[in-house]
Amino acid sequence: MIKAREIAKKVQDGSLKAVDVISASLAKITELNPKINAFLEVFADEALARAKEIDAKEQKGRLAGVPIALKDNILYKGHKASCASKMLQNYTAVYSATVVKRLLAEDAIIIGRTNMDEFAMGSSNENSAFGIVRNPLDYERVPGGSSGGSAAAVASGMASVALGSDTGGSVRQPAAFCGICGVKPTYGLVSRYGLVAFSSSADQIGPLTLDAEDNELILSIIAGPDEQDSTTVPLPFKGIIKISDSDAVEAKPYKKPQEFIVGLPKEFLQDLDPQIKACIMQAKTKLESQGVKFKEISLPYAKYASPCYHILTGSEASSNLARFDGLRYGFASQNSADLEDSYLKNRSAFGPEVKRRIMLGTFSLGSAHAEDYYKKAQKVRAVIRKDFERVFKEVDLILTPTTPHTAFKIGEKQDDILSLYLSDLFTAPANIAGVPSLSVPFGKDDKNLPVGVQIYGNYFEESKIYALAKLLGS
Amino acid sequence: MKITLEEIKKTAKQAKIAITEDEAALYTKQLSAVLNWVEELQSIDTSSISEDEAKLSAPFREDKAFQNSAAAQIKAAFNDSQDNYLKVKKVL
Repeated sequence: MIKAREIAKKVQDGSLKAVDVISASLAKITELNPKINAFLEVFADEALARAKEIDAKEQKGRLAGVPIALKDNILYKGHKASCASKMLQNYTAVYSATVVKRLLAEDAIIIGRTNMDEFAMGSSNENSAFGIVRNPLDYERVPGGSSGGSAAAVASGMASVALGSDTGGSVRQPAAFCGICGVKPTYGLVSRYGLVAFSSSADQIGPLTLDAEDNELILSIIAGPDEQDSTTVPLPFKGIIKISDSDAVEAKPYKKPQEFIVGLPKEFLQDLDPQIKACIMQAKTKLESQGVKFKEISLPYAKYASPCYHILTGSEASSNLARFDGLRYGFASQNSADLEDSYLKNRSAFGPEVKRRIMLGTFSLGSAHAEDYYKKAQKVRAVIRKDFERVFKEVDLILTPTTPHTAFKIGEKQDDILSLYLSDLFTAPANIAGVPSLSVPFGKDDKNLPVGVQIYGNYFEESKIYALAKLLGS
Repeated sequence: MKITLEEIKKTAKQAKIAITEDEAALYTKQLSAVLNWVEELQSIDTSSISEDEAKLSAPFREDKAFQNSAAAQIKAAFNDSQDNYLKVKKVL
């Protein structure tokens, strides 16, 4: 698949037809999707019709003709959004997410909705109610999760761009497993209006793309305040991303990327898989050769982000998913005896991982345990946040691995929940602290599987992250 | 911490999730492992963190009325409706 910015440029100047871009994308989907199962539904006719309209337009948008896939938890008016769950199998969105509206306003073409771990809970895409997704680089391996379908769609060339959501690493980890770029923006940068809520204090939507430049382009289009998500930050913020001309935010001048000071947290490198460590060190060497300075730093509390994440997101999920009672939304059993029985029967449509997380959250919030679990985790979250605030006074960016291992085999970790939960060891700190981080592919292991290198930035300093990623050649 | 079979059943009831005896046994094992793991949070000294610092607050915008034209689609997405009401199965 061609990069988004190249498609848009050619469609804008008339050297490429949007119809041909979409036809190529659809042909690839027909060829590969039966094997990979990245798409749950493809909007073929509609995408072609829209491509024709865009080709006929005089003034074309910044994403003219770019085929974009949506994770199945992002609403697109008139289309199904099932969260890969039997619960929402027949749910049709009655409005579009803000991010979707912003992409469409730039003449992007939504090509279909992608498979995921049910309700975005998982890190292997094995928790989908509609079948596993296979890693396009090795069909015996998982694509990562929970945005596994989105990552596989882009890595296999079925779409140029995909949107995912990231609550603990769900964009970055599959991006790393599939050898592409994925970002978790600063909490508050991108509107979640129209994203099915999992954990409201951590969820962020982020693009998955072939390289960092495409990623920055897509993020700059979907970012910015939205009246319908009060957690989005009003402009101007201290950040550097230019949202749009009408917002007229001046790009804040900052030092040249070659003058950045990058922190290397010693805790992230301890006991790290030697092949992944070697890739980090090669990335460091490449950046140093361009003038970037490195500094050893310590983030002693970052390793607690993962257990902290599971308590807090489970708790929030137990509340957010309470709305799926079959009366207001979702699967409704037709033979329940009374109200209690209807809840139990209707909520049986949740899969095992969703039930597990709701129960963990319900337990953590219970009056007998809230002090030890939920409230303690909230305090630990503040400790982790302060850890990052301290470090970002000394360094511009932080370089870490994205994952503790490369893509694992399908079924390999199914019986080992803790091992699956630890997949987000290096990514969850960004969600817990609220800072942005980008995974870029850099190097491979001895099985020829891609390794993801992760760049953390300070709040709203995504542009610095992208500048460093470009130095890495990603 | 080890969670007991009884606690799992009670939690499932609170969460309005029906589980079989086999599932209850499995969840007891799995959630005990998860709770053992998250137990490590207890080792962190959080005495310097005030209740306010631990709380996250979301800003509120002014509450303004606007016209919503989605009623027809919402009704269409529902099993049954009458006038502008959604009909659900009798549960009481």
